[in-house]
Amino acid sequence: MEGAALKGHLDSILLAALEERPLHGYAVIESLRLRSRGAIDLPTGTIYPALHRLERARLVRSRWSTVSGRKRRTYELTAAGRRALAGKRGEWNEFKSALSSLIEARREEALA
Amino acid sequence: MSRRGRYVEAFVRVIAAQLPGPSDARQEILDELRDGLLAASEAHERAGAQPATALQLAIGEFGEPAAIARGFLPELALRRARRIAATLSGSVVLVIAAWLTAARTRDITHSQPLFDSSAAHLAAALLLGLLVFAAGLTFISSGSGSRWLGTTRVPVFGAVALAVLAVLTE
Repeated sequence: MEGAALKGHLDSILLAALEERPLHGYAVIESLRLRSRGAIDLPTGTIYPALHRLERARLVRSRWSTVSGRKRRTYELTAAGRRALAGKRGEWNEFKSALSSLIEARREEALA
Repeated sequence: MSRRGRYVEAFVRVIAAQLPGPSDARQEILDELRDGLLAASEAHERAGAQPATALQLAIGEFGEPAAIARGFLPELALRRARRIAATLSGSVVLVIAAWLTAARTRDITHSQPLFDSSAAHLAAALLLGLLVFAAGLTFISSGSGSRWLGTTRVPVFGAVALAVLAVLTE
């Protein structure tokens, strides 16, 4: 699944990836690959601007540390980020449920 | 520097050449990309790839340098706008302080008061007020306000704020 198919859902996906623990940019990518069993494979370069945008919105915060002699930026969810994720989950479940009922209804019509 | 380090630096330099904006903001972006590239390369090595192949895979995963740089342009523009707004807000404070100091000096020397209801003074006060308003809009639309403004209203707020700032500072 590429970037275009995920348009509009990137923020939710990133917030969900950071839900369990703080991660640096590339670890976010690895987590997405692992959790989606390889279905979600975004170009790594697109993740960083999205994480920065979430930080500007105060949904995540970042910390700098030094790992193996190089600077590393790690992101974690803020309280506002957790609330936003819960809200997006609710919206997603409603959307998914509405879409499922529409598609299933059409299938039943086709069979009738 | 290792061979891998040199390749990563070369890749980062290509991106750096396409990033405008404040140097501290650019440096943060480049530091983060450098770490990401090295982390990606290390992950591929752990998965069994040879170092050269691992680096190639990491660079391939990141995408085209031009596309990566383009992704950061809105952020860098916003940071520049916030910096300008902060400088202008500081200027307004200095202007008001200078104005008050001048008014006090005139009061002490019993000369004509600096403040009156003339059109020029009202226009100056209005201009300063608008400047602060525009700077405030810039901060809101480019910072935490983007959360409740939503993706549609952020560009509108930002455009209004920047237009007002541009007119006032021209």
